[in-house]
Amino acid sequence: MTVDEKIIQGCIAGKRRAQNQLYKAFAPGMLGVCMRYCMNRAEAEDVLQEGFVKVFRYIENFRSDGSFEGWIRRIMVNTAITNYNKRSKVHHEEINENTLSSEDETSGDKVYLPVDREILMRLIQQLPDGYRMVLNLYVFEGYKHREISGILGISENTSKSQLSKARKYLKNEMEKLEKVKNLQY
Amino acid sequence: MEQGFNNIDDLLRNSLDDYQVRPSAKVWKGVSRSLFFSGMGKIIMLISGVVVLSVAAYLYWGYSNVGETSGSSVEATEIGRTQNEDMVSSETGIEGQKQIVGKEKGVNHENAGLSENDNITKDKNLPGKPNNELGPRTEDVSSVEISTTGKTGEVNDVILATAAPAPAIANVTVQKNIPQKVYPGLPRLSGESPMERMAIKTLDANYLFRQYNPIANINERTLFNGLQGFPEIDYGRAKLFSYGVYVSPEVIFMNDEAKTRKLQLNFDAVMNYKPNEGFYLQGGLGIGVSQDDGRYNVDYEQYDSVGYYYEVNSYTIDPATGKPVFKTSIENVYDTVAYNKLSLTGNRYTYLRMSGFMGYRVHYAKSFSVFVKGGLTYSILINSYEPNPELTNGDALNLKITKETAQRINDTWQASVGVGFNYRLSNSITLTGEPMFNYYLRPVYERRYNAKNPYSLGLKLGLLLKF
Repeated sequence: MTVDEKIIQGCIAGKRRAQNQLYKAFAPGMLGVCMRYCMNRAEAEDVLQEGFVKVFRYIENFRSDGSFEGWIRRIMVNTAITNYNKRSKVHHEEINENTLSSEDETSGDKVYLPVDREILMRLIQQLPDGYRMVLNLYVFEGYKHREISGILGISENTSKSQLSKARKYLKNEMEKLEKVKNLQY
Repeated sequence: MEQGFNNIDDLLRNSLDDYQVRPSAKVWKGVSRSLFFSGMGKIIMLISGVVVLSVAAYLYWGYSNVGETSGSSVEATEIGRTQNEDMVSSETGIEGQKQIVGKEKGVNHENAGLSENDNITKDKNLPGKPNNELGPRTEDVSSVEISTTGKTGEVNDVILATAAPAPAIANVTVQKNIPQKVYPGLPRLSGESPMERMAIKTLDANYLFRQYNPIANINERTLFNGLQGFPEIDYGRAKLFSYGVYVSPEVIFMNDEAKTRKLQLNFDAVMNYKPNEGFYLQGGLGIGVSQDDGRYNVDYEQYDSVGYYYEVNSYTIDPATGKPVFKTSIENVYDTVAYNKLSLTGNRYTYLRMSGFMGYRVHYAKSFSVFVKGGLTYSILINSYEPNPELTNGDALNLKITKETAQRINDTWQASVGVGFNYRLSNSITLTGEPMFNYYLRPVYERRYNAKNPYSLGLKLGLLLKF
């Protein structure tokens, strides 16, 4: 999505109309991003609100050599991570190294059929916080485990373990859904 | 046929990468509000604050100086001049005497002891008061005498008679320029006691001192502070503004399913503006400290005994019965056992409170008055104290602590109504007690916890001071 330069300039000047136009253009997509990182819609809206305040506050720092949508998206993801860290600052989770799965969850003979997006979103939101964060950063943002360990303050092995468990969980849930679907037909 | 995906990552990316949901209207409102308070709004609020303070200061000082500085320096100069010129002529002129007598008659109603035969003379024999110089003015004034019996009286008596209506002291040529409200409290000074006579003398001196020196601002209240038996001098401005401090314990009903109640203690400093007897406005700034529970769900595993069994060490055959006799020992069985416990901590949240109230007096009897009041309070969370749960179990494995405490929001509004009971201890100190009902216009917890708007009952106890 491209955005009119005038709107950005208006936002830099602090004009409310321009800010509203920018918000209307990007808010639905960014709420979709936030919802993947949060446990429910209300929390995602809190993150979205906080994220857009940062966008408007720091919009003059945006360098036009990159994608504006990507810049906003990074702010939203960072805000979601900050929110996660704040909310779970006493959430210590020690992963038993023995539970690390050596199998590669991303490969195999299994073919996954498309699933309703709302259901898939719901499944992601049901994941434990840590699993959800790692899954999002790895799958959607393209970070490596080493980077994720630095972002979330966990070990690389924990990152791998949580990604593995998240995939396993989603896989199981989708299989259950498939069974139900087959029963219906 | 539906296209499939070889791995789950592709499925997720394909399905959710461009996922869009329209946010609720609350989000944009929240963004707008945050931007307002962080951008131009801050400047606007700062300017508004400065304007309000300036207006308040103007009202305060402007009003309080009406009686004190209304005599200009030009008039003051005239006073000095008349001491040498006009006053002399007034002493000898019959018309002048009549004027003075007429004025003093008015005084007599307030200060018994003066008759229609009173006249004014000027005592040229008092020491240290050359007539041809302006200062020290206080001494010049105190040298003016009134003879109540046709002969020169004592200095104290004279001072009493002239001082009571201060304009009359400045008298003869300038009295028309001096507002009648210079010492509205003076009628209460009967002059019966030496203390009051001394007070009146100093009042006069101070008054004229300021006539000559408009920038000088000597407060009579300060002058007489600590003198017992000296009656209150009421300049009127004390009725316009008063200041107070409140402490108000508050019970907050969280309005949730568990009917949770929380305690909060508020400390507020307020300023009251009372333009008339019945109505007043109140602005305040304070700190509120609220208590809350920190709930943590602790899951952990521990290597623990789960039972026992009998280990057969050996056996023998009983020759009598032919049956085996086992020799056993008890062996404990250990395994990793999952435990869960709830850990509670005491959280504390500190809010900065800004309040605006208006009130109306509905009952008044002697020192007791009853008000109804209502207003808004805006609270900003400025500090959160959330201690971590204490875990003393060193054998715990795979520890997982989940915070279950709802997250507090950063700011909230309260609408309050209440009744105020004031008891006036003195002209300057009023004791006040105000049972209040407060309704939170926003939940104190974040929306994701489905929090409802709480309400609270509080009792504001405080002292109102008039300076």
